[in-house]
Parts: sequence; structure tokens; C-alpha cells
Amino acid sequence: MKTLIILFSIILISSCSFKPTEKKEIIIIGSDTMLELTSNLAEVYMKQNVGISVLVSGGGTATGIKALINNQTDICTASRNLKPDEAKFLADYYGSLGLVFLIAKDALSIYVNPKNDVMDLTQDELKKIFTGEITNWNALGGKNSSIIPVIRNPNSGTYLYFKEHVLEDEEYTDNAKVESTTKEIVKSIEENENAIGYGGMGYKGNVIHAKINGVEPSENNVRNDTYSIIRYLHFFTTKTPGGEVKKFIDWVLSPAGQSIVRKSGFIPLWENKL
Amino acid sequence: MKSIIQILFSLLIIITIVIYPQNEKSFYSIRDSISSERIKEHLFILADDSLEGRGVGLKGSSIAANYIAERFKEYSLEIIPNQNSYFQNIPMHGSYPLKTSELSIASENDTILLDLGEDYFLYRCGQQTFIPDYLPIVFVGYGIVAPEFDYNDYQSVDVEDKIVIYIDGEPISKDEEYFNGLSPTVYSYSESKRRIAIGRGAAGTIQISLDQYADWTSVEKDFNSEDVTLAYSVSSNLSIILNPDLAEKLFHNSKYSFNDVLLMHQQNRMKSFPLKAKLKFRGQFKERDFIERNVIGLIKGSDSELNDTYLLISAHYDHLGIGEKVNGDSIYNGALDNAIGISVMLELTKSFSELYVKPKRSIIFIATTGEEKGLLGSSYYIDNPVVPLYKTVANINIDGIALFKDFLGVVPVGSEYSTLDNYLIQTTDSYGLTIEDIPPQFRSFDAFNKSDQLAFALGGIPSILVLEGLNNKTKSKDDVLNSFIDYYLKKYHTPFDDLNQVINTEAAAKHAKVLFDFAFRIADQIEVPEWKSGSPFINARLRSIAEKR
Repeated sequence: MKTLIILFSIILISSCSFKPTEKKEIIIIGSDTMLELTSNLAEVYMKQNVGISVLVSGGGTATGIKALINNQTDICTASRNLKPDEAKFLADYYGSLGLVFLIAKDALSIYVNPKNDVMDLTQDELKKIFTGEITNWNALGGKNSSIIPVIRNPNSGTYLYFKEHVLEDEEYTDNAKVESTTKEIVKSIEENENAIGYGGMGYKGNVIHAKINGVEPSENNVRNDTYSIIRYLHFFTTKTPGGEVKKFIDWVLSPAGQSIVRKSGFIPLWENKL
Repeated sequence: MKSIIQILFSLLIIITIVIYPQNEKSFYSIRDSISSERIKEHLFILADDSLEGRGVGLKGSSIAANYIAERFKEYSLEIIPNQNSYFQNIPMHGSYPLKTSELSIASENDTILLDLGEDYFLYRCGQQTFIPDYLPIVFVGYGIVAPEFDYNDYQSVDVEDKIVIYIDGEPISKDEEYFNGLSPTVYSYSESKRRIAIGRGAAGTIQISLDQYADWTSVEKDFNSEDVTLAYSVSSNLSIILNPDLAEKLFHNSKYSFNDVLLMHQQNRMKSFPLKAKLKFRGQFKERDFIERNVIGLIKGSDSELNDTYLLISAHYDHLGIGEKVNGDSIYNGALDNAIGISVMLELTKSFSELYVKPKRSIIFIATTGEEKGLLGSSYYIDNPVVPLYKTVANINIDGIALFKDFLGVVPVGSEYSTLDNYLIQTTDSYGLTIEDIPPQFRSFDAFNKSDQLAFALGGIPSILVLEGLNNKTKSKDDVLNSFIDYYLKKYHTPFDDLNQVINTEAAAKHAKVLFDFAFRIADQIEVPEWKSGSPFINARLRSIAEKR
């Protein structure tokens, strides 16, 4: 019996609630990919709930998780899962593995210039382009011009996701041009018809979102799992949230919150059925 | 004079009503009107092939939920105040692993690619399982850290950012004080071992089963399905159950062979050590996000104060849906698991609804979803209760209904934890039934932890599951026991738990009458059921009271 008591307190602590506080401030720190989305959510939520303050900042998923471990944030936004050492930190500090909430889906689009003849690529061709194995568009049925891969900087979660999932953890070509933001990647491609890069599906601009394996990046194709370069976006908390934090997360998952997800260029998870 | 007589007569009536708030004839006539025919009617709708096994997030589950809500309306159950309907919407996530997933094991001389299904299955699916680079593997005995037994499989090895591999079970002992002797503790649960590993910084886990899942066909039966979770869950990572036939290969050239490990287990001399092999995993999954629904209705209590406290009566309506074909049948109807439980609950809603004077406390009826996928609907309810948990005095869960109408005993699963057994004894005494222990053959099944009563208990609500016992007026105990075993081995979680088997709805009706009486007693008494001293769920109760949650 004693075993049961101790184990339930040690192992299942993450399913225990903490006492809702009277705090009217919700702090959110984490993923840059999710920064615009979270800011939009915060703005609408604060308008609808006068007196509640939602403070949002970026810095990257790793920053958010560090803030979570240091009890400096209520919610960490993350475009990836916890790493083993981060889970260990949470377990050490909170006796908890943390809770992960699915918030939205994000599809990574491959951008090419509208003048480019190549608008449909296989995932293997993508890998070869970004690892430097294919260097000329004519190898893909395009013009005889050198390919200019444009990538995010190495501190970006998107850089890592693309490397792990598309390049299968091989290294990017040294010839890639590095940009800090999706906006700058798009600008590079708009200005150079031989450039190719990646970024969020919802990002607009004068670029073409290429088909991958014959499938275009669209909400339907992401939802039915036919478009292949997708990931989930998450909220992490140390324990089951209570009070205002729980209310905010419940709202994000509601039709009202999920409509902001769509407006922000991401794919809502539950349509309007909640 | 006339007016005095009138007043006295009126007083007499009032006193009679106060003393006998429930007209006995009406109570018993309603109890006696519990109908096997209506139960059968519900059962034949809910377990019909057209509902395709009521798999979560699929058409059949939705039809079942609608059917239950329609009956709630027909039987005049109230919608919970502040809720828009009988439905509690629950965001869920499903992930099904594809054969194209790549699990590679590299040793000094070669690399092998394992086959999903033949060689391994996944406990948890999805992107969280991704291991892009080869990581070292460390054997950690049973994968247990239990300070109260001075036991730690991790004390001599570093597992951070490595894969840990362990066997199932726990140290063997006949001493009741050490790991509960021959009975399993929660340390033997796969989920406990996984969480301990993740908390120690492991990047993933591999379990090799020597006990419950030693037979790979039983693993295939339980794991060859979609992994469904709530849209929020405890963070996780790669978690594999490995075919024991492959174990020796993984241990090849390491300090000890897998055969040595088996000897360590038998001799109680378990050691942890690193293996020579490494592992990486790139999973491919078919994923979906969907809304499932608990169905919740209320019968308001008759006491103006106590009706703000609640008895929660639950039964799960989901089952396994469409699965692997067995003898040409792929629909896992779940007639006994738990279409009949829901049918009995619907009959109870009708009975309570028809009572002229309701019990003092209110009763919440909840048809839960996602039970088969890990108590998802009940767990969601605990995180999002429609009435405060601390005002919810007890839970009676219905999951397993009597097979034989002449049963003379009941098995109260979970009665050791709370005072609910006192109420049940009052009921069984009045029906001439005996209280029985769980038959030894079923103790390892660990029934309390296998259905929604566990989730409610973890939320602090004293809970109980009342099953049929072995004592029977017309059958021997052995015959009854063999029938239970036959169901468990041949029909439970197979396509054969369907309407083609013999289902005695008269037995179900008798079971319903016992539950009706039991529920009435709990809901009508001023005394509140409590957890017994030493119960593992007391703290959850105290927290919900302190937080008024």
C-alpha cells in the first residue's frame, strides 16, 4: 500500500493540479516560429477578457523550456518535443515530466521564384538540393542555372527540423545562403529566380509554394496527411494548469482560438467542432 | 373540530412524507420494473455491426453518443447547468505507426533493420519518438527506482541521452513487505517504468517482456492499433516493446548475455550495464486530430442542500472499432465490453428519473469515451469536471455485467480503499447476496486499475466497480469461473465479443437492480463515503477539498 502512495505521488504528480491563483497575468515564452501566432492569440484574448494580461516573448524553444524550468513562464511554446536533458530538468525540479498540449499544425513550404520552371520536387530531390548533391536546376528539368539554397540560421528550430526530417540529419551545403527570418528568405527568393528556401505554409509573398511529391501544401493536404513536411506546435506547462492559465489554454483549443490559428497561417486541429 | 381533524390529518401526511420520503411501493415497483427487454433493446443497437465497434473518433462512436444523449432526453435527464448540451467535447490525437518506420540497431559488426509488428511495437507514437542519430543502449534491470525498498536500477549507470532497455516485472520476493510480495506493485507498470526513465534523462525505452507479454501474439493483439491520447498528455519519447526473440542479438558481445539476465532475474541478482549495440529510429505515422464526446446528464436530488452534492455513475461506451480480421470478422463490437454496461446505465437513468421522490443527493450519469485507449474520457472529466470534484461523493463505475441470472454473490472491486463497501453490504444483505473476493485466477488482471474507476479515484472520488461473483444458485463455482475464463481468453477484446454469443439480459437486469439499490443508498444517505486510512487516493481528495475544486 505504501508503495502505491509513494508512486502515485512521485510518478503521477504531473496529473495533479496546482491551486489556481488569483494571478491575472499569463507569461508565455518560447518558439520564434510561434511568436506571431501566440501574439495574435494574446491580443484577441485580452480584448475579450479585459483585466487579463498575456505577455508573449520569443527567443526560441530552448529559451522557453529554460524559462519553464526556472519558473519564469507559465507556458512554453515549442515547435519540437522536449529533449531528454530538458525532461530530466523538469523531473528534477518539479517531480514532473511536464504536460504537452497540441495547439496547431505547421506545414513547411518550399518557396521558389515564380519564374522558376521547377515547381514540383520529391523529398529526395529536396535533400539533394540542400545537401549540395544537386547544384543545377537543369538536373531537375529546369534552366541551366546554379541553385541557390537559402536557409535559416542554425539557432532556428525550423533549421533543425528541416535538417533532421528532410536532410535526414545530413549537413546543409556550405553554399547555402543564411537568413535570420522567414521574411528575409522570401525576400531573397523574390529577388533571385534561382533561389529556393523554406518557411511556414501561411507565409505570403511573391513566391511559389512548390509541390512535394506531387502534393501542394494546403490545409486539406496537411489535415489528411498527404503533404509530408509537417509538424505539430505545442504549449508546455510544468503541471496541469489551473486558474487563468487553464482558461487561456482552453480558449486556444476552442473554435474561437483555433480560428486565430488559421488566420495566423497555421492549420487548426479541430475545425469548428469544439 | 373539523378543522382540528383536518390539521391533524394534514400533519400526519406531512410526517409520513418526511419519515418515508420515498414511497416504498413506488421505489420497489420502479426497481422491479427494471426491464431485461429494454436493456436488450439498447444492447442490440449499441453492439450492432453498423456501429463498427464504436472506435474513438469514428462514425460508430458518434452514433452511440447521439443514441445515449437521445435516451437521456427521453428519460428527462437535465443538462448540467452552464453546459450547452449533454456532450462534453474532448480534443484527441491519434497516431498509427506505418510499416515504413525505420528502427535500426547497430552493433560492432553489422546493422539490422527491425520490422514493425514482427520485431517490435511502439507504446507511444508520433513525432516525439524521433531519434535521428544512433544512441547507446543501457540495460537497467527492471527499470525501477523505489526508495522505500532501497532499490534503484539506475544507481550505477549513466542513462542521460541514451536508450534504456529493461525487462518487465519487478524483483521477486515472498516477503509481503518487499514489492508487495507476489502481488504486483505499480512499479511493474510499463507507464511507471517509462516515466522513471524519462525523468532520468533517457532518450527512449525498450521493454522486453518475460511475463504478461512473453507471448508475442498477445502483444500483437494489444499493440497493433492506433495510439490515441488526449490533445494534452505527459511528455513522452520513444518507447518500444521488443520481441524477446531478438533480445540476445541486442546483448551480443556485451558484458552479460540476455541469458545471463534471465539468470539474474531468477536469482534476484539483477545488475545494470551498458550494451554494445546502438539504436536510431525514424518513424512514419498516420496522424489525425478529432473531437470525442463524453455524454453527461443530471438527475437533481430532492434535498435542497444535499442536492448540490453528487453521485457519479459511469460506464464507457467506446470499444476497439475495426481491427485485424479474425475468422473473417473485423468488427470488435464490444457487446459485453461495454455496450451492455451502457445499456444497464440507461435503464438506471430511466428508473431514477421515474422515482417520485428522488434521493437527497443529485446523480450525474456519464457515458465516457476513450476508456479502451487509456481511460481518456474519465481522465478528461477529472481535469474538466462539470461539478466540483470535492462535491462528488462517490463513483459507481459499470464495466462488466453479470453473465448468469442466478448469481448469489458480488465482487466489489476497489472496496478495500473506501467505505463504499458499507453501503454495498446494506444492499447485498437485503438481497441475500454475499460479498466475494476477486477469484485468485483474476487477481493479476488488476481490475481496479483497468477501467474508469481508477481515473475517478485519482481525482479523489471514492470509486467502486461491482462485478458478479462465483456463488450461484444453479451453477457450481467452477462452472461460473470457467465461463469467466472462457470469455477472457476467447472473446474479450476480439471480434467474438459480439451479439452472436449468449448474453443473458435477465442477469443484466438483476445486476441493474442491485446497482439501483446501491446507488440509491449512497445518494440518499447524509453520511459521505470516504477513503479508508492508507488508501493511495486520500491526498487527491484532500487537495480537491482544500482547493474547492
